[in-house]
Amino acid sequence: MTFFNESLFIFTILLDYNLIQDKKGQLYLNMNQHKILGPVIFVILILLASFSYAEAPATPTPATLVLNDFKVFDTPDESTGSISLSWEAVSGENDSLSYVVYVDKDANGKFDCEFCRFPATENWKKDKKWPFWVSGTKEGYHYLEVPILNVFPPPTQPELDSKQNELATIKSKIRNTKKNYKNLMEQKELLQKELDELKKAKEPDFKTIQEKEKALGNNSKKLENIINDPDAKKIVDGIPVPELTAKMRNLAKEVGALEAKVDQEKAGIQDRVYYFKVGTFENDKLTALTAATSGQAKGNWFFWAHLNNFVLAVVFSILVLWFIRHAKKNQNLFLRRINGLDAVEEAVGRATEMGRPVFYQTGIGGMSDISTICATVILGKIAEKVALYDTQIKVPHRDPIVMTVCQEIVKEAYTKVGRPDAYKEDCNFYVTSDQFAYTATVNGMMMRDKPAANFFMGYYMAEALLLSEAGSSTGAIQIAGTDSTDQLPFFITTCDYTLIGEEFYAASAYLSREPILVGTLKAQDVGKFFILAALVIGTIFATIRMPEILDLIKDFS
Amino acid sequence: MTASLKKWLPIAVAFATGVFFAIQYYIPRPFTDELLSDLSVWFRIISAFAMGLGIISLFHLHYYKIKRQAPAWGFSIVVFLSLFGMIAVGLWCLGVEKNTDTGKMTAYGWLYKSLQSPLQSTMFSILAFYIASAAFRAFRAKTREATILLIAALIVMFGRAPMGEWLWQQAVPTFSVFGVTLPPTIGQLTGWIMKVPNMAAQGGISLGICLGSIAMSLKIIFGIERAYMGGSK
Amino acid sequence: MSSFIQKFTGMDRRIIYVLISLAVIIPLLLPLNLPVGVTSEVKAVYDTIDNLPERSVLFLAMDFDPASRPELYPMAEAILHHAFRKNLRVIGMTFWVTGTGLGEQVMVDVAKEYGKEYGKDYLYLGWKAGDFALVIGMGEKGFAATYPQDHYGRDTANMPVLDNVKTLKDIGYLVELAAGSTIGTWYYYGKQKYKFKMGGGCTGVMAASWYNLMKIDWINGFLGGLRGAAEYEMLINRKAVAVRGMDPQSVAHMLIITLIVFSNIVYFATGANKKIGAGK
Repeated sequence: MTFFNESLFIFTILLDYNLIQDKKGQLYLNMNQHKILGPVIFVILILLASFSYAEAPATPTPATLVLNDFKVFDTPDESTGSISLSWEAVSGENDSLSYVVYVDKDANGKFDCEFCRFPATENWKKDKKWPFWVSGTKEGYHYLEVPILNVFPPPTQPELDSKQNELATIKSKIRNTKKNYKNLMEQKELLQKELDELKKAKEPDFKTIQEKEKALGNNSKKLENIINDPDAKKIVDGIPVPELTAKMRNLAKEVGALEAKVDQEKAGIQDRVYYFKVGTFENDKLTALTAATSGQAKGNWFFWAHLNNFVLAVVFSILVLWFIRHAKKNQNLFLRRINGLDAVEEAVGRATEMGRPVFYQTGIGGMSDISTICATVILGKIAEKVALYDTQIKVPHRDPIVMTVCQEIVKEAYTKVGRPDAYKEDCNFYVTSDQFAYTATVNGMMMRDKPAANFFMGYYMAEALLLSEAGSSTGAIQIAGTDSTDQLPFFITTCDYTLIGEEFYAASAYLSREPILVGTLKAQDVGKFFILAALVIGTIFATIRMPEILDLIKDFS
Repeated sequence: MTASLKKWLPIAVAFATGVFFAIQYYIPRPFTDELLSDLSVWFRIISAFAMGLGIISLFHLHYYKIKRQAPAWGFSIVVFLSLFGMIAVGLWCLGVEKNTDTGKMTAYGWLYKSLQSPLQSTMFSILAFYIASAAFRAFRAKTREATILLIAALIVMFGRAPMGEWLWQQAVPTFSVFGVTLPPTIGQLTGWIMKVPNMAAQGGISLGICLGSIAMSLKIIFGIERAYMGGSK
Repeated sequence: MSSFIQKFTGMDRRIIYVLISLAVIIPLLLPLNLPVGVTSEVKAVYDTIDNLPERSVLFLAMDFDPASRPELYPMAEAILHHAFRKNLRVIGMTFWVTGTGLGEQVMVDVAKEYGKEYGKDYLYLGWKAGDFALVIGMGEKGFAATYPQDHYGRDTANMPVLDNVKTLKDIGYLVELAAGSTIGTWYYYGKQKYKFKMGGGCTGVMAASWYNLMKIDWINGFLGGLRGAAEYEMLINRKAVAVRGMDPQSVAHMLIITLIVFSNIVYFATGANKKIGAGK
């Protein structure tokens, strides 16, 4: 302003006055003499004044962008501090248009933190695997997840990373230096020896000598590095390095403290409101920008995408419990014949007649496998029959925990039928945990003992055919039950009876006819009916292109 | 008191852990994963101690076999020799198969590579013979289902062998109908059998197995099924 | 004639074993060199690895033991050849303690052929107790934190092979070569959480059930048995053990088919099908 004022002042003077020197040499102002000069000077002054206030051509302020249904919300079904943005695609989106997302902690902030920029043809909500009750409308919506910790990392993180690296280096140094030094010295001796021998040879192989010399050179460099490092040298010379271990301990403490600080900072970073602006870029120019919209990340306590799974699990559980109650009242629920289980009596009877043992195997699974639990249940029923008929039973095991459980089951079975005296502790024995060593052992036993009946119950892998074919060669009656679909074909071809999948799980109910167990079977049947109905209805809905309904029966892991 | 605790404590633990880990699937929190991995470590420790039980059982069985000179008691001596030999060598070599400094194999590594490894491979390879004899015996077209099984098995065996593909190409003339080459190649037929009926059957059986597993798990969680405790009472 | 039929249908197993032995040994000595067709599931694995950018990380989980070596080792070999040709970084490990040596052997042997440097181009983590806890660790805390030392006891913290690759989320592709059910572990605790691409390889027996895994998007492709390994060798133009193994496989298959067909002809010709009721 000062220059302008002065200019105006000078102009005013010059317009109205001019300096005239009179005859006496005194200067005085003569007004109104230079009427043309005045305006010209005025324009020049104005121009000068305007240049002094000249700024760069003003960047056009981006227009306010109004995105339809623009939402900022906590990302569902996660707990890692992520905020999501979604908005309806604007009409006329093409390759030349890009979106940009800015983040700030303050609604009135500068928003100079650019999270990302992407072409308008990318980042669609429909690509996100969410059911409709979580995502809402998917078609035609852009979607972006902003992991807040990536945008605003804890300030102490770099220091923590550096300290952790330092600690790892020291630990490695303490652990490996002596070993490395020893190896390098041995290598050096060996190389030197080889080199000397090569040089002494009648026709020295110069190429090999060169290679050995190069290797020796590298070796020497590595040794030098160790010697030149004062800490490493101390380790190598056998001098105790209390400074190094003390340094390591102090560093470990520092790292611990920094980790706690970083965790605190992370919690602070996640637990606040952030503001987002979405802009459009065309031809590398920011053309429009939304107003700031806020959102906050919150840890979720329920995986909403698994809601259908949860509801089905609860409904099925209620069904099971209801049918158990129903079975207790109505003891005559129908169960179809399972030939394999009807033949158990026949198999044990055959063994008794022939005076040969019954072999029972519980598979290769551990006690945490459902199939092994089913196998132990069936073992209990068979052990009762074996105890009644006074037949010998042998149960070789691959898992010691399963062995201890089966020992108790068989013992109790003998006690239940009033034959505790006939029980032999050795009927359940551990063989080995190795798959094929177990198979070889049991095959050998089958060849020598020639059992009259073999039961293969549980989970099997490659040994299924080995065991069943070996058993078949001895002429035993064989009953198998497994949930391993890979091995079913082998059991079917080599065994007399095979319990397929669910029949195996139903065995305990079938053999005992206990209302609780039969009720559970009924609930399973209802569950299967529901699955069949879902298959048919789902096919119809998929055919008539209403895939959203299929979300109800989909897995959204 | 002790008897009552022995009965109810395992059921209570099974219930609590079963419900917790069923629910953790629906909770997107890192602590559930950490707890799961901690539990797996505990389980490993317990399994390691249980291994001691198994070895005691093994000793017991074979010791009495040797003592009574039961049939094939010589094999029991072999069991002891192998067991103690492997343990001794393993301890001497500190469980290291290959010396990382010199690259040479240790005695333990040699025993593993020259004995155990070939023995395992041999047992697995016996499957080839057993499959042949089982297939020869069992693949007879006795019933409708057996016939379908037979035809499917023949097509897949033919299709998975390059010789089968080559023979099919030589023996079966092809023609084109509306741009589609017919008949399909044996590889395409095999692929169809594997991807359509096979997958459908596997899926169906798997669905039944899954329902059975869920029902069994619920029975264990609610204490209805107590076989894992070593008895139904 | 009837005695021949009786002898044939009741043939001693040992004769079949001898025939199978000959069917396997003779083609090994007199190769047939038949072409091996490629299936879409193997091609999918090949294409995925082929399209990985240079220096991206291929994670190879070699979950097999010496028993399944004949089928899975050639797969590992072929995949490693492909990976090293494409200048990818490879990280190997195993959940099977008995397979530790096999994993190491295949990585070292193939890497030597391409002059690859340990620690810079490939890394072998070996075996460590933990199962799914290891997968979670590699996904959350990272490779160096879960495996502070590799199979050889060297520190993994600053290895160049792990540059810009901290966790399972950063890998390009994971191939699980399974002789058991570890594919479930890799999916539930790995791919489901950390969203990496996964392919697989399995023994021939398991191949039938792995089609389902492709359908439900656990894996984008897989190599089934020795045949799968042979197909991969054809794709990378390196006919090795697996392709050579196709000859005995072919002859053995043809032998078994011949025996089955002939036994059924005999079965129908003798009228046995009418005498015996509904079989088991």
